[in-house]
Amino acid sequence: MRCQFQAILCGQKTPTLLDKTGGREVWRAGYPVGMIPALTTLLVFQLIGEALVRALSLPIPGPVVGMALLLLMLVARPSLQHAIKPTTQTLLQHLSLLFVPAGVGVILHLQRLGDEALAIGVALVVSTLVGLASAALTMAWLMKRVAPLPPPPSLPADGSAP
Amino acid sequence: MTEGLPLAGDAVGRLADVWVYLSASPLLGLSITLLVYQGAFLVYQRSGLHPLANPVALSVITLGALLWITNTPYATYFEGAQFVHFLLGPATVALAMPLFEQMARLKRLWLPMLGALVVGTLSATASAIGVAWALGASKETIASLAPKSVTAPVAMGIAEKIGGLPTLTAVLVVCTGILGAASARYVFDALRIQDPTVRGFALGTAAHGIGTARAFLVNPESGAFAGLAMGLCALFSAVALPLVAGFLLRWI
Repeated sequence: MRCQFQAILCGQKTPTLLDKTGGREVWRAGYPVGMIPALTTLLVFQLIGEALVRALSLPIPGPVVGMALLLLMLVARPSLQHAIKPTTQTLLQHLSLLFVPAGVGVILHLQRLGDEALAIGVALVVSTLVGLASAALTMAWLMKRVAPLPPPPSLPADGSAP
Repeated sequence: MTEGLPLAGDAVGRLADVWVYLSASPLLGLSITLLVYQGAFLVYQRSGLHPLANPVALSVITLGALLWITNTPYATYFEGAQFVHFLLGPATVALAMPLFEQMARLKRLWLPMLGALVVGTLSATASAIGVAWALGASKETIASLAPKSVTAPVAMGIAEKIGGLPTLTAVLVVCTGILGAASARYVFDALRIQDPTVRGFALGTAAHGIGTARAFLVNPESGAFAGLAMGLCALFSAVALPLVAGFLLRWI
């Protein structure tokens, strides 16, 4: 037990502590493991973010402040990542799902979208392409100038199948 | 009940009761959202993750059609779907995790990323406002279009501030995400940009969470950078867009 904790403190890959009853992993690196503790962590950080935004009347959204705070926490306590990683991965893998309810709101605006279809459609397409191209070109250009270290070769993003 | 078919009439009556209960309960809106999304995701996978078979687009079209056919008001549907919508908040917080894993890269690439973020966000906003104005869109529509490359909850807040319609903005945000996720591969290939960090970051800047979801599916490294871009874009836009868009809107 003692050496396990020592290994944990040194941040090594450690054998995990199992509970006696089912052999299920309940603690890892000093943090509870599982979906509920991870969700609690995320929600508490969002809550702190929202509270800070309201209290200081910041123009930034609460969840973004929560994200920044969680990132700081992870930097301060890297072992926390083991406790939240599986849940954050699941949540982010299905990020698209979370946009569906807002998207269905399209039925509220069919009238306006129909009346101004040309302007809205062209503006959406043009600005999205402009945004993609300008961000990519700016970053590629600055990377050549500022950080000329070539990145390791890997699969092209958004290219072929994964 | 009808005299000839008492049983059938009874069954129809019961079915109607069931429908009355279900259509008023949040359970139906929630389960149908998840079911339709799973179906759409299956189609997406079957198509070999083809960018044009975007699962959000397929789900929105299917659900919109279902609501229209059953004559269900959006507010009723949203009572159930809000539980999914709510998770946008914790999911934004969860972006800290991929960021943390890319910390070393982040430190090295902060300047190129900052440049891409500012140029990408401002050019997308300015071109959206410019094109919509040139084609004669109303001021409300233009204000709703301005924050469309920012993630939904943030964009809705910005739209409210500059005189747009938050719910219309949410729709335009989703459209932008779908368009960006669908076209990114072709745009980047045409520009000969191969670096997964650049592709991911640009996709997150221009197409927020839907672009990020796409990037995660194709390459985890791009996904992390897309998530980073989405978070930074939300931060930057929340501060800068009300000023920039407000300024542009006053001129038109």
